[in-house]
Amino acid sequence: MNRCIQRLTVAGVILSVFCFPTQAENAGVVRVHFSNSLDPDLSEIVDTYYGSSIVRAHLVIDSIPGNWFSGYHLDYELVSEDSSVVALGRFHPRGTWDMIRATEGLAGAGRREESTTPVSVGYWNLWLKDGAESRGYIKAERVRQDGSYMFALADTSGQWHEALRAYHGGINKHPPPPTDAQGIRKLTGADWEGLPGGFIAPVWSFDGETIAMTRTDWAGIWIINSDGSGLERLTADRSSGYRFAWSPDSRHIAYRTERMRKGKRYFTIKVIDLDEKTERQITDFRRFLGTPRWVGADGTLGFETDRTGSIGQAHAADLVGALVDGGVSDLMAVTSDDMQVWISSNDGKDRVRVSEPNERCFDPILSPDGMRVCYACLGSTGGIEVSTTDGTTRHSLGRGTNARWAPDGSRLVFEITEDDGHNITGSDLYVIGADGRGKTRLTNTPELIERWPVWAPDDRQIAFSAQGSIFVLNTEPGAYGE
Amino acid sequence: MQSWRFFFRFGIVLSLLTIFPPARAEEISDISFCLDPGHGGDSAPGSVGPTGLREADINLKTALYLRDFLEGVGCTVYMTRETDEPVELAKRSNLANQRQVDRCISIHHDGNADTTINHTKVLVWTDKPPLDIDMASEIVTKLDETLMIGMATSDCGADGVVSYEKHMVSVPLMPCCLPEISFITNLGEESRLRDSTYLYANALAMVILCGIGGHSRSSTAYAAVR
Repeated sequence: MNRCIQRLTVAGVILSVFCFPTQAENAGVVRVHFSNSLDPDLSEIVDTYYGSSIVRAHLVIDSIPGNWFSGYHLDYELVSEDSSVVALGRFHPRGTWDMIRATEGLAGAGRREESTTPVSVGYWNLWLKDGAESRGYIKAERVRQDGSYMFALADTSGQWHEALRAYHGGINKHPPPPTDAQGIRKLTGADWEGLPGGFIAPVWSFDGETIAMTRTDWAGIWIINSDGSGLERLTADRSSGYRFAWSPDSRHIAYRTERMRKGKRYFTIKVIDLDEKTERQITDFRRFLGTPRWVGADGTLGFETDRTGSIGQAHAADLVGALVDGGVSDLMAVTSDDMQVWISSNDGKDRVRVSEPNERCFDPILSPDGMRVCYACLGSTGGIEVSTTDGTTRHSLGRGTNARWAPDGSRLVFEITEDDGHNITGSDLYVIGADGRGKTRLTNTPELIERWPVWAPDDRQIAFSAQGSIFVLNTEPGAYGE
Repeated sequence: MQSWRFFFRFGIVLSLLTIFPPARAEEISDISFCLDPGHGGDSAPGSVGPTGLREADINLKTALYLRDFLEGVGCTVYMTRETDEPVELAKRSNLANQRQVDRCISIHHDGNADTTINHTKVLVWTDKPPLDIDMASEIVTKLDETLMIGMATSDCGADGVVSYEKHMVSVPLMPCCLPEISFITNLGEESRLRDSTYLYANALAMVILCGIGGHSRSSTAYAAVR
């Protein structure tokens, strides 16, 4: 029974929102009633303020244990300030709705709507009409990435006001953004020319002056100065945002893109010149091609060429004439088709396995000094693993994903996510020493889902994405993992 | 009566295989897959049937049979889990992306407090290219032909295909879909899933394979008109 209630708490929340601008004399308050149809003890009432004329509504998500998304609906009840019910209705999860009852003179209209707002896609809208005139509406939006719902209220001018957000694990009014006081600054919001989704997966340039990032569909690379100015898109190529690589001179970005032919994916590697704003394809299209890595100061790129972890190279020297030393490695880390992690020289020779034969591991990333490699392992005991590149020493760092090395290779920053089996419901950032010691929690924000952390080259900042925006967290050099 | 129904459905599956097998095997042999049995581990059973059958277990059995079928026709397959173990969603999508598979299929069964509800559907995320819907449509059609429990109302133009932004259909780079094969909370369905586990899972796997085969052909057509 306890488990049932627990799931209900997580999956079945009840919301209430209301807006109804027909009675100008009403106080500007929205009564937000959270309740649970299956467990009234979990109900809660919250007031928030909005506009000049409001009525109270009561939306109920009738959910079921263990399944947030299926079989539920939203019941709403619009109540005027004199406590008379003016409308009853029901939203269905696939975008239809019924007006069960409404007072005379009111009519309802609802529809599914694809929204162009920065971070969300609309699902349900309700217009209440007094005669032919639309008097106001409620909008429930599914916010991308964090899996939450946003309930917004519109005034008669069409301006939206966020009333509350409902998360799988609970409900929050107006999730507070990180502030400078917490050592966190917002670099950019989620919006880019009305594209759905938001920014994710930031990567610092080697000179620390620029951050490149992609969006939730991985289609494209954007750059922004580290002070938050100069946001621009470099490419919109498909999949280009996945594991692109800054050149050591910070003036080029190598990335892998793809196209579909007869239902199969074909990949190629391109290099963008940030000064010339040009891009050049440096390989032909192949059925398998790993994401590129700069392996030589002369503009050489290394990448996997098949599922066994074979390594190929391509030269971008005609584009890259001013690469500096550093930021490149003599080693390559690859995954073989039997899910083992291997280290070899960057021409593919002298291969050493660093993962355990009885484990299934993937996604290796070399430390900047080339001394260690971190990778992910599956299974109940799997997590983030760190091995020396000669395979002699290994540490298990525990649960976590998307680990990235500190500039000196002594620590890693990573995320620990929570999910309900369908969507990620929470995530916070942690730092840990490469030897598994000194695990430190960097963020503790239930209302934000911090993901994709990456260290700045000066060791003083960590960039990450949350709710489609990019943030920078200030840290002290060597403050973690000692 | 129940066994009569089962053999009837199994007969349909065999008929489908009889009609299509050589072309299907030929066309998909060079396609790589990530199969993701939804949920897993003690703390994440997924939906639970009226008599306790766990969604995580039936998802895994179905995925393992499907893996065997796919590998049998020459496909490369990566599994996000091979036993009853917890795997974070972030790691599941990372695996699909990092291994560069051509398709990702996250296998689930649905649940509802109303134990009479039972239908099939396949979830996609419509912000992604249309190949996702194409694959989902093929799979749900074959599921419907075999299970005969009806399909969910569609909101994206293909019967039984529903757009929903779940992690495993929105984050992977490649075309992907999430079949909610049937409702484990339906008493009769749970009984079928439990009592004829082996054959039923085989049938489901084959049905999905049929769907993938159909998808392979139609995606060829799609590429041609593109």
